[in-house]
Amino acid sequence: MDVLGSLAGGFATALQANNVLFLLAGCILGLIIGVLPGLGGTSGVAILLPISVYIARDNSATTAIIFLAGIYWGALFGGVVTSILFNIPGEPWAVALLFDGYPLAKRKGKPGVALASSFMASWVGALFATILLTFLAKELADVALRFGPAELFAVFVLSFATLIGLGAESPMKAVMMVAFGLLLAAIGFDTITGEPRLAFGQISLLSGIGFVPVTIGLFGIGEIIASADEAGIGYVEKIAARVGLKDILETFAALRKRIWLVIANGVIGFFFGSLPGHGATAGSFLGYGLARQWARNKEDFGKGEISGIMAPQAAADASAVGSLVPMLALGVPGSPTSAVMMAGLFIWGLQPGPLLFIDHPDFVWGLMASIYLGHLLTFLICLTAVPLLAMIMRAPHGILTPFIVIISVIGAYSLNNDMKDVAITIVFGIIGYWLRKMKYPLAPLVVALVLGDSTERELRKALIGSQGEWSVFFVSPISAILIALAVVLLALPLIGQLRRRGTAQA
Amino acid sequence: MLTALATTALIAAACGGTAQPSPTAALTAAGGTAAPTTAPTAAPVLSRPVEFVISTAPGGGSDIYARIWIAAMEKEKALSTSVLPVNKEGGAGAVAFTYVFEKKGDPHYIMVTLNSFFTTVITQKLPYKATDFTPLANMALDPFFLWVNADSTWKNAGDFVKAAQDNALTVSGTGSKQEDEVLFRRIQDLAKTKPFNYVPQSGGGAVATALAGKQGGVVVTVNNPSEGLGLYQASPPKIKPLCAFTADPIKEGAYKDLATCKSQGLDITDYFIVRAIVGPPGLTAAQTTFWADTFKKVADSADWKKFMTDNALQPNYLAGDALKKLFDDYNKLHQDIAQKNGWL
Amino acid sequence: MRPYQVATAAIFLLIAAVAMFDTRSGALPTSAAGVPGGLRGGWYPFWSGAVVAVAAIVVGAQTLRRPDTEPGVFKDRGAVLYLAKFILPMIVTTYLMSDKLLGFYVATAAYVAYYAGLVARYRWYWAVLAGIAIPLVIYLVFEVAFKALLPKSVFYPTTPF
Repeated sequence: MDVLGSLAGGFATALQANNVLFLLAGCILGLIIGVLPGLGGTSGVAILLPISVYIARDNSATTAIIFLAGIYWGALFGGVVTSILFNIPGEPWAVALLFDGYPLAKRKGKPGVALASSFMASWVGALFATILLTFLAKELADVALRFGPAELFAVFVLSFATLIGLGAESPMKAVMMVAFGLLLAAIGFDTITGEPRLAFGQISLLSGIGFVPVTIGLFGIGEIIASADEAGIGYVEKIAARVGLKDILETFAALRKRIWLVIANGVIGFFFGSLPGHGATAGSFLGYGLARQWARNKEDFGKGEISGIMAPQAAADASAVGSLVPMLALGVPGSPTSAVMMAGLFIWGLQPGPLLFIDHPDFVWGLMASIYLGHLLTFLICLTAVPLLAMIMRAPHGILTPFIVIISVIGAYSLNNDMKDVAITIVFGIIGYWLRKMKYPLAPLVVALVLGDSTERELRKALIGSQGEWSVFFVSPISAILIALAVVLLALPLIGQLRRRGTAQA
Repeated sequence: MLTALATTALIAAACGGTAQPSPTAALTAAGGTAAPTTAPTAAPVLSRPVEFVISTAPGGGSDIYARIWIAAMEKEKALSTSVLPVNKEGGAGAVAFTYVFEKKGDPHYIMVTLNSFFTTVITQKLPYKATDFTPLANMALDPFFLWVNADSTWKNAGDFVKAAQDNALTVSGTGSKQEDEVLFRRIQDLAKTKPFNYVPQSGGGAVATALAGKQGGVVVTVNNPSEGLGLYQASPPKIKPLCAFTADPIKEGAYKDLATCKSQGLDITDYFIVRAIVGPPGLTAAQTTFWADTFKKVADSADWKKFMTDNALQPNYLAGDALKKLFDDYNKLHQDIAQKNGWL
Repeated sequence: MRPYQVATAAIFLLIAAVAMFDTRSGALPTSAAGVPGGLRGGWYPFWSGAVVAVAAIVVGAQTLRRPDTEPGVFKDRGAVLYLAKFILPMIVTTYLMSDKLLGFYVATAAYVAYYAGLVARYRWYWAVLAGIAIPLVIYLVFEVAFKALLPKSVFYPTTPF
């Protein structure tokens, strides 16, 4: 087989000593960067781009891309650590991990299982995504091209349908939070007409309210205030964050039970990532929502259910792999991180796009092989390094509490290097504390805030294309099926409720 | 604990040593290049690391250019201090512009431009003008091409114009009221077409993909050469350029012999994306010259020249009064378009 | 609990009302020329606001109908004091972090030392040590190793932070 032969050649390239060395260096640097607040894969690759220039000069462009890809994978694994241990998302797509990762670590006292779950899911999801990338990159790129605004809008509607009611005791409060999230997402420039909305003449509001600072506030700061309130000041629950052999075995058993879920999410995430501009974040939310819909124990989600960690993480990592599809097959970036990698290609004198397969096969297949190797390396490093990382958790509370506040601030600031985002984090920290107290669910608010902008944009883009005809959403079979599915998902619980009421009265 | 502290102290000392350039090194860098002109002050222009401000996210539009120049600067050893790229995304560039504007007279802040540098400042009623900034150097003009899907029956710009006069075509571009829409409004005025149905996207890659997949019925875009290259080189090609909005046909590279749109009846030859570098308002002549000379070295570097050829950029190094005139022209052009379309 | 619940719902109702008023001109789909896709910028936020408003009214009404089972929001006066001691310094610190004031590093040092010394009641030298060590480590990692800049004080570049 042609592909297998090329892949074998790729492994021969990737297994050269200097390539393995730089892959390892990249993975470790990526892990560190992923764990640091506010620095993720995108900024990590961007920060180390200048170094890659020297690597490309002294070795080859293949070594340089393997190094950068290593950073990408390392950061994907490292980004989950602060979500699970501190309730502070290190990266946008790690937001979905807050819903079950932190509860499993804190309330159920199993940080080892929570961390190991996300690492294993990452690895399995990425493995399947990489197999798809190896064999189907060009075909998938063609399919992704046909995915227009109407289809994307339908996907977002489906995401909402699977996530509504998440962690809510009162359905009306959940509805309120979803709509409030959409409202917050709308602040600032209208992306279609460029007109300001809900900015009330404030220049600082024009650029909108980003979901990362809001989420850090609602979950990270809000949680600390809440625990200060519940248990007295300075109280943060101590988590014994050690991945012991027992935890790993337990996680492995849990993974075996959920293997199809993880694989399915790997495939979904991969497809999402291959749509230019819609990367890991939307994929991880959809993965979480579908896992919850499929599960029999829906009510356990949001309270530390392992599926709620594995599904979004598998989807997120797989979509990072998928984001290489448009870069390699079409020469357009699939995600912000792959966009920076493309900048690297330009700097090393390569032209991203399909000609790479013909002109530089070593480069393409070396990169592919390094994805298999890089994920395996990162996975192994993670399992051994987590006890070290988690030493921070044993710090005394008088240090840990201000430390969490400070890393929340860094996380919010580093996104756009803007103090406005820090102010947003603090304000939403207080709002999050109060809403917790008033028993409003925060997850629907965050989901709506994250997906709100894209949903509106795709809706209106589709309507512009159809000159205002709403039938556009039903002409395309994909979008019609997805919307019908969403309606069924929304209607089912309502029907169930009515039925229960009916039998109760009879 | 003690060893850790000692190590960090060591790192700090070592890095302090490299980050703070020796004054003499900076002086030779400044003096060496500015020698032919006058060097009014003996002090070095730069005394600490420079922030290269970028108004898009990492990987977006102008970001790639800034990073390529920084890499070239390092390779050519054009500068003795380090240059740090700082992304300040948001408000269609307003966040970055305001940040640099507030650093009046400080040569340690420079910014890469794209045309939102003109449009955003005009349409958003910001308390400053694009011409308030100190223009340092223009590196290239990035042309627009007229792109259609690969299976389109249109052979040239004339076919497109005729179709656009009969029907309101769905077109796509980056952002709203920014360079792509500006160009489409100019085409509309010039060729008296029906108003275009303009679909704004989040970036140039998304625009090219929308055309390749005919998403939402998009039939035409005005992508830059670099944005469409991958899709054009795919086998079979997904999209193809009909013509270039340039004065002369493309001479070399992947788009060799692409005709001008002017030769096909669409006479726009004066609109490009300005890939330039500006500084905060109020830089002195010496500081301006220093930066202009530094970027001259980048403009002459082999890496940058290869990139320009590969991506059909028009080499156009400008500094001083010629650059000031270019900025004035573009500012006026965008002011007029905004006025005409009621974008103010 | 009940008065607080009703007040929270009322605040949401107020927010929704302001948002709907601000975007009222785009409330209805239109076929007028010059409106791409028939929806103005205000359509989406207007109807989001409308849903918030309806939900807030329903939640408020439900709260009033049901018996008030839970006691007050805060445990006691001490809890309120605790919160003030935690939240106010956090707000002041982030305000001082601006590059026109103390900057990130000085403000962080002061905050960590304050918290360790005055709230957690560590011995003063531990508090001072923590106040210096944490920003120093952050400086080395972010500023020096990864060149990710955090806001510096108004005294920069006289001081390196």
